[in-house]
Amino acid sequence: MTDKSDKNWINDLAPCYRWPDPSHDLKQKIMRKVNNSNTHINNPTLIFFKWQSIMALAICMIMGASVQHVTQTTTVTSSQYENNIYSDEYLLFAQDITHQSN
Amino acid sequence: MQATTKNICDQQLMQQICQGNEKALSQIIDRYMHDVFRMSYHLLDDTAKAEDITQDTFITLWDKPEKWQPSGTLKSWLLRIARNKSIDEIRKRKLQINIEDTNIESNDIKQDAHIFNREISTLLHMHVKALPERQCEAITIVHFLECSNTEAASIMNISVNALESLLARGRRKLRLSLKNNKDIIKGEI
Repeated sequence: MTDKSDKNWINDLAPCYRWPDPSHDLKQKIMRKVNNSNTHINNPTLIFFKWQSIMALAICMIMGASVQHVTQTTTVTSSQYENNIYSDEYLLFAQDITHQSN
Repeated sequence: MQATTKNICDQQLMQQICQGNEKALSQIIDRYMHDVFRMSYHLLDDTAKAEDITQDTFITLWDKPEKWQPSGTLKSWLLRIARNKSIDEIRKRKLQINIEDTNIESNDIKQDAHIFNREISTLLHMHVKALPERQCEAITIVHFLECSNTEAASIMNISVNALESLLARGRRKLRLSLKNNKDIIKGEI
């Protein structure tokens, strides 16, 4: 087996390897995270409102905030939501909800 | 991507990002997000973590665009960031891949073309993952993410000669390993 023919068969397989695609909303999440990272750094009140936000989050969850609502409102993608708990992201989500309810 | 901005080169977009232009970042994401995500996914085998790393990679680009040296391609720089983050994650987890668990019985293969292709993809992924780590990286970067040997060597921080040696060994091992599944991937090798 020559090295050249080795390359040919593996290049033929390459299309099979071009998967998976990331979540459809990943780009949107990255752009949101860019905004949030600025907000995070420039917003000292975030820590102060932490408990208030957590309480708001708890109320949202009890009231039945959907996965879709969480993924649309935060930088969490649907697959991340299914696999992980991102406390910072939930905090931002809660903060958004707090602002909305105010 | 808009037709008017289609031909803006990476370097121009990076200059705009240095000035805080989010639209430029958006275009860079359109160009490279899939490659960055797939790079992490194929190293980690974890969609959620690969998305995390993809996010972090572009945040790094946004926060420190001046770190990119135009002497190398932007794609290779982004893949290097993603690769390093993925390697850190692998070290944390000490991933263990067990190829025996990934064998697919030919009776299980559905005739539907889409599902069939997905089975081939899954099988190929498992066999590539079972290669030694450096060979797996080299094969993924060069053959599946379509980087040149020079780019791949830069991403992996090794010489081009060392990369070519990894590729040759990796290809030989992969071919040998896939031979046992010739029925499943008939016509592919």
